[in-house]
Amino acid sequence: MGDTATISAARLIDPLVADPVFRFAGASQAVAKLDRLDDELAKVLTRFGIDHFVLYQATDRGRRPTGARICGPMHRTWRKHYVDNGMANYDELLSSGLNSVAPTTWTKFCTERKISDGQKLLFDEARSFGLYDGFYLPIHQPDGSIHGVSMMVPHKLEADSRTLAALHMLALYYSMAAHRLGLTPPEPPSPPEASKHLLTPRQRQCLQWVRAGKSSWEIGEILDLSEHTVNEHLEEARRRLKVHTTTQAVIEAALRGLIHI
Amino acid sequence: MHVHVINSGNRHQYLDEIEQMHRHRHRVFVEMMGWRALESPDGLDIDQFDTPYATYLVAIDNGEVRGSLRLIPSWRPHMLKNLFPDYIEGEAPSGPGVWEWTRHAPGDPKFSRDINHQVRFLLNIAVYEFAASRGIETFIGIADCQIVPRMIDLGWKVDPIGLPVNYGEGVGYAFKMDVDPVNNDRLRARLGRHNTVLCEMPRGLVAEGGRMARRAIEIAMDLPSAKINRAEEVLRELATVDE
Repeated sequence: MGDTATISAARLIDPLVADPVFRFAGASQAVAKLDRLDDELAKVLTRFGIDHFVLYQATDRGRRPTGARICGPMHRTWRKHYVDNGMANYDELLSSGLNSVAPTTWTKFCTERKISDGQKLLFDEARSFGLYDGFYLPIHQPDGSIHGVSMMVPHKLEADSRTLAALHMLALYYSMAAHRLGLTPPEPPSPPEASKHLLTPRQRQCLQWVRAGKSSWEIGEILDLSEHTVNEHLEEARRRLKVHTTTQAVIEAALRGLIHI
Repeated sequence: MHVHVINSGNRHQYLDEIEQMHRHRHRVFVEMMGWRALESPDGLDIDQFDTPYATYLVAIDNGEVRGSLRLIPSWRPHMLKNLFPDYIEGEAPSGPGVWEWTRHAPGDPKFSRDINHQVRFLLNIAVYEFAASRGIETFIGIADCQIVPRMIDLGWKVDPIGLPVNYGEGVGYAFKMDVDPVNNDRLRARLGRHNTVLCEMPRGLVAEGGRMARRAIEIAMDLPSAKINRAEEVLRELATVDE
């Protein structure tokens, strides 16, 4: 047991690199808000020359792909492009987490496996937004859901084993903190046959988040919608359920098995 | 199901369970997790740290071992200090309040979901009870990165003391965890079990007497205090048989 080459490399780690990583690991377990968590990670990642990172919910607990952004102050224009084109649905890097727990980089991902033309295009597009390479870690949470953390750089990621080990640890603690803070989207159940077409999946998703105590603005952040759009979904849900308030809509939807209690 | 403290003082009362534990560990680490380095032709996982200095917390369900873990005081030889010092940045925590936690083997896919769920929680609750009995403030060890989210889910604060290292079958790192007794209450609430789970047999009992006493203690542990008369009855009955 033990890969001596890796061990001796890890041994060389400059305490100046390891200490901030350990500090983040400690702080992440106590932090109370997601944006604070983002700030803490952003601070450490600067040391590695990384400006952009993001955490996607790659699959829900039933292992169905969701591609919902949980947190991470990601590159704004790229994020919009990615979301507008529904790219999470066919991002092979994201779905690779289903049967892997190993960290990888975009470069490694492209050389180690046969990737589709679509995926090549996706990476090419990212590059045109200044995101040249990235570190990627899939994390399997105890409830069965899978997170994917990406950390992106505008050049080839110089991935010596010390840096990779540090990024691995940062991504792991980042994901665990996000999971603890309850931002794993609660996926609504599959609706019973009788009321199947009563609400759209989006409407049920929004109601499920209201049930979890989130405001329209927060739901928008989580689902990558505007606050206005979230309110529209909720209004339409109230109309279809023939109730006046959102609280009534949550109760009504739960009674009909359209969302979880 | 109870978790038993097995150490050099009472191990002769548990010879059968100890063999079961080593067999179960082999199943978990070699057959399930694929740690080939631990493979042994006799199907028992025993290493150089299974010495009289090791204490085992073993979940036993009617004579059947359902899971176990190994604790070694930091002032005795242990894995982090003697085998993997390179995993740690700087010095590992040590001293009277520090013990190493290794060979954590909860449950088995062969057991029912309910049993595995119980074992997972019982072993952790037992660790808190044992920590209280010995004044342990900190546990150290090596965790696989895949397991850490589960440890966090069980309420532990897992602080790294080394960066992740590729150990062949996975990636893991050295950690320390401070004991926060408040979390034990949360675990108990989640499992819905409020009585003591840890059973420590006194040293000096012969094997047969030990087995009988163990049965009596387990029964007594499961009785709510309102039915303490019943426990006394059981003990009296057992005492008569012994004579």
